[in-house]
Amino acid sequence: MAGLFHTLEIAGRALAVTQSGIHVTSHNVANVETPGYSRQRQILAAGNPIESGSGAIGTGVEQLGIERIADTLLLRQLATEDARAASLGVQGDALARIEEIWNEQARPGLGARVAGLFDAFEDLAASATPGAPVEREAVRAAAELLVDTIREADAELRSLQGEADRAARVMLGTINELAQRIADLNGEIVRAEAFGPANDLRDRRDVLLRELARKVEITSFEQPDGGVVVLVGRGLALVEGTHARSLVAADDPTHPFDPSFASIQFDTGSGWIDVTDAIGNGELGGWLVVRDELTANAIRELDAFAYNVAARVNEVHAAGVGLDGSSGDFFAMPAGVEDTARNFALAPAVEASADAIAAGLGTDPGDNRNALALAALRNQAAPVFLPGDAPGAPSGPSRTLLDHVAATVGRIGTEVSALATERASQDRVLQQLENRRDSLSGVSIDEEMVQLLRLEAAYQANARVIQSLDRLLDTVVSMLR
Amino acid sequence: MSVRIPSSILTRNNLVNISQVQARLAVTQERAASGLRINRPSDDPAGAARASVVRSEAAAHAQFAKNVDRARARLAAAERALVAASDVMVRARELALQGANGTLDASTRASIAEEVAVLFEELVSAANTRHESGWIFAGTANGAPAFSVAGSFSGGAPPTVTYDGDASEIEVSVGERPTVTVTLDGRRVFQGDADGDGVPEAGREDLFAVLGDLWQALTNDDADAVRATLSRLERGQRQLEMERSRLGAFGARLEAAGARLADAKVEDVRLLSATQDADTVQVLSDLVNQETALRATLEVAARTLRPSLLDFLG
Repeated sequence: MAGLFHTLEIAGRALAVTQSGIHVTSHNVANVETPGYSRQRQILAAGNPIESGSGAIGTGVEQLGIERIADTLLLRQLATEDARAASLGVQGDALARIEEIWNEQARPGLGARVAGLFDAFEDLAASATPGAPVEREAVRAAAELLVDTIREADAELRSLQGEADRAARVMLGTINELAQRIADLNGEIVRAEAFGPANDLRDRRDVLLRELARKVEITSFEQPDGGVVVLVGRGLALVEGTHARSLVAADDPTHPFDPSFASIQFDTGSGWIDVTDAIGNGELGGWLVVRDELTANAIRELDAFAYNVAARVNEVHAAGVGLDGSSGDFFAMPAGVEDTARNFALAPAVEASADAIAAGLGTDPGDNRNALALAALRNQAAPVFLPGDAPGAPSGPSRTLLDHVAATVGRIGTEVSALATERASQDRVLQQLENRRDSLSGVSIDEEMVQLLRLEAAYQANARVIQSLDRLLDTVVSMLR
Repeated sequence: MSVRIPSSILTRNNLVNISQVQARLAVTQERAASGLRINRPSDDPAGAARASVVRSEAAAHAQFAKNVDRARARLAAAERALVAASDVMVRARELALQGANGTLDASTRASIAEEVAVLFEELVSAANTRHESGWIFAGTANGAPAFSVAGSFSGGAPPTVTYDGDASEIEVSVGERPTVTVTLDGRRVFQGDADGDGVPEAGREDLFAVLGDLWQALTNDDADAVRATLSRLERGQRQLEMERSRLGAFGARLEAAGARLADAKVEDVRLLSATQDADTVQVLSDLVNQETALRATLEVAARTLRPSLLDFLG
């Protein structure tokens, strides 16, 4: 048989447990808008029964602990998708800027400038006035406009590439700081968990892990003591226990575009390991793709385009004779396809005097035969030079220069729209995962309110038990009087 | 177990929905503002590539049309010169007929000879016609007069005329393939010498020489010699008529090219518009639909975000 005092103690403890429940609810409601917060709940169990002659007697309720409702696997998955979304975001923004260079819809672009040069050649051919001084100057002006447009496009691409490099360098500082904070939290969690689950600290660490994943793709796993290990690149431990290593930038003298561009090095404490090619997703990975693939390819493509223009115009131009009797190139002939756009310029003779423009096959002032040939280039298809081709050995399909522009416009447009589609579907994937996480871990006010009502009722019921025990004790005491 | 829908999910979904509708609305507004369906290559990569091709073709056609106008003006100048030369020859024949009359005295013939000398100058000036600062009958060597005159009638013998141009004809491009000739070889037109050997071909005449001979015959008071120039003058006139008909043939080709280019221009505009322009009616109806959609989305958001159990607890 249990005594009255035992019952009183059960009721008392129940009050305490209920109050703790209200505390948990209050904690949940307080954090309803806290990013990364996982709702918590009491783990309750009936107390160990007391064996007596007449069967087991209950000993009331016991709070075993407070747990957070979170799915670690889902959080890892979110981190992976965050990394992908961040990388796609960086790439998409950069690609939109590259697209603008080839965008002819809103204003005249490279295609219009090439067409302008052919128009000027046509005018030169159609005038056939002695020497055609006005038309010659117009040809030079149209050519200079084309030169400027190509060089500006090249400068724009290179500045975007430089920005990507700087962004990648800056990113490293943020990454190292996050890694250090995660390592610190590891220490706090391990210490705290000697006494029970460190729910709120774990939430904070999960938030940091996602933030880190947005900067650089990571894999992470938890060790038995509660600390997480964070791996970057090819399985290098950025964080292990309370130790954080760091990523550092080093000038990469072998970089094909700029020897001052950074390679990403993993600092093991005793040496550096190059992880540039193993960065994967995340903003850092995105910026590296922008620097080493997107802008790099765009620059090479522009080089090839400029080279095609120079090679074709020069070939015809050199066959003719200028008013001054000279024969030679129209554009300064580049040594190879690479870097053509950056160094694009008129040939020195043409730069110096418009009379060097070879309008004729002889020096007769009205000779327009070569100008006709130059103008006819507009519709002449020939194999195009592609990035990486050696001079004199074009490997591309046979196209006119303007078709080459159109094909490039089409290709870039396809690339941008494909990336946009990928981004949109990635956003949806992320939204789904976030919703799944919130569905599991998010605080629902309605739910908490219901819980509060229940706890209130439970509190009142336990209080009623104490009240009635009080009366019983009264009875017992008055019996003794 | 039923699915938990904490308010954060509703908030997120509502925000995503609103931003999606707004993004679509922004695209439609851009189309309405620019009048273009394709505002950047990624809006329609294939269409943008096609638009680029059509635009460059349209530019080429516009340039060819300019070439046609320019060539037409040049041919018209040549035509005017040939008409003037023809008039000279007609008048010279009238004078020759007068001069061939046996009853005329020497002084009358001398005064006719003076008029022939003036006609000679007119013919030289027609042969040295300039257009856009170039001598149009000088071939490609058009930076200097086509013909130079040595000597004068006061010396007792007619002046000699030499061709300083070359035999090249200038061609201009008025389409993708054909070029149209826009000059006549002055030596053939005025001196009947097509092969440049200095002697007129059979059935052709050196007009300057004929006028010179006529002047000489008149000055010499030689009625027979004057009569002998009559058939040559006639031949010379026919020669000019033939050259005019050649010019006419060039002109006809120009007109044909011009008409073709005018058609092409209409087609270019239509094609470019079909490729890249926004359908105004479509855009406006899209705009209305999307505005309605946005309003509906906002309304749904307002209704789903507001209520919680708190609203109903006393």
